[in-house]
Parts: sequence; C-alpha cells; structure tokens
Amino acid sequence: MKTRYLVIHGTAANSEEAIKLCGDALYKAGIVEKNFGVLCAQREKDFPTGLPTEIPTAIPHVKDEGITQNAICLLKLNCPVTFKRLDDDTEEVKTDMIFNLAIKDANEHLAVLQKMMAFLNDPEVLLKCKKLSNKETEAYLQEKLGS
Amino acid sequence: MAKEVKVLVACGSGVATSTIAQEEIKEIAKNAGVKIRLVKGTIAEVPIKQKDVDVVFTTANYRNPLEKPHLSVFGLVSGLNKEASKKKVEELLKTISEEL
Repeated sequence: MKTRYLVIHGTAANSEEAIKLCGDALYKAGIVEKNFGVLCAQREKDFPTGLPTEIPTAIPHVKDEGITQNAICLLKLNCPVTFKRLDDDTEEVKTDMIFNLAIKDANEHLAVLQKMMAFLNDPEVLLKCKKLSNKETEAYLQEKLGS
Repeated sequence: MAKEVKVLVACGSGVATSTIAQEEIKEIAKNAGVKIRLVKGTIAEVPIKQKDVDVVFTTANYRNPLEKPHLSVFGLVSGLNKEASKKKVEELLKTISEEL
C-alpha cells in the first residue's frame, strides 16, 4: 500500500499541542484512530524524537494497531516549539517542522524511512518545504520520498 | 566457521529508528564478514532481551548499566557522523565475533 503524505500548517504552544495537531489531521484523513495524537505525545515524553540536524526537526511516532496505512504528516508551525532530543533527552532542539509518522508496517515502509532521514539532513530540501504551499509540499514529499 | 553474533537493536517504540538502524547494521556486518542474527526491540525491553544476545545497539539514549556490550547508533539513523558510527559498529561486531 502506498505511503500517504499530509501537510498542514498551524500554531502550537508546545510539542504536545503540535503532535496533537498532526494526530487530528491523520485521524480526519482516516489513517489513524482518534487517540493516535495522544499516544504519540505520551510516547514523546518517554522517548523524545527531536533531531539535532542542521535544520532541526522532530519525528514523533508510536507503535499502534489502529494505523490503516503508512503515512507521514508534516506540520509547519508559525513559531517553533521545543522538543527533547532523540539521542540525548537532556538536550533540546527548537523546530517549526514536525514529521509525524504513522507506521503500519516498518519493513514495507523502510525505503521511505531511509529516504526521509536523508531528507531531514538536507537543509536545502527542508527550506524548500517551508516555502511551498501545503499542497505543493505534499507533492514534493511524494516526489522525494516515494511511495 | 565463525559463530553468529546475536544482536539486539532497540529504539523507543521498536518501529522506526530501530528498523533503519537494523538495515544499516546488516550491511555493515555483511561487509565486515561477520555473521549476525538480529532481534529488534524497544528500549523498555532492553533489560530482558539483552540476556539472549551478545551485543546491544540503541538508537536513543540508554543510560542504565547493561550486562552486554552496548553502543548508541543514533548516527546510523540520523546521518550525523555516520561514517564514524559505522566504523564503531564494525569494530565492535568484529571484536565480539572473535571472542565467541
């Protein structure tokens, strides 16, 4: 099954609110169950996902049976929020780009996940995502990360 | 014939970063000529699952003491200092393989 890409724009006071915005968007698209955002936010507390790359991002996600298809929801924020770092939870990053992953089958999703990590390391493509409209960004992600 | 090194790869939820790291470790082991058997898990499962393996790789930080050799492999996932990370994994796998 193909990977779906959703891109939304919003405002959040903190990482928890940001994650819930993504969870709601994925829920409305019929990809996850209603509590997905809450589950992701809970997991984020125990195992944070902030990435200290050149342009920092975060990749909140959770293992959940209710996911119907592999999907990535990118939330572009008006103002950055703080995430603790995946590799060191005593450190933080500030980001206005959150990539919420809904992973139904990681093995099937592997190529996309690998491409995504390279993508997140590339300041040029991330800056391009910021400039594009939501619809354009969806097409761009599809083109860059594949299905 | 060299024995198989049993490897645990763990991350926060056991779905995303451990899957990426697992593929990288497979490739590194193959190039280094070390036979491995991979088990995937979550960070929470590490204290139990470490008992059945020879080495533990984690993508997120893990600070509790372990009985088995442990290496953080965030670099394999994030791409930050990836080559240095690869080298460390290769050396550790080789050392363990020789000791088995």
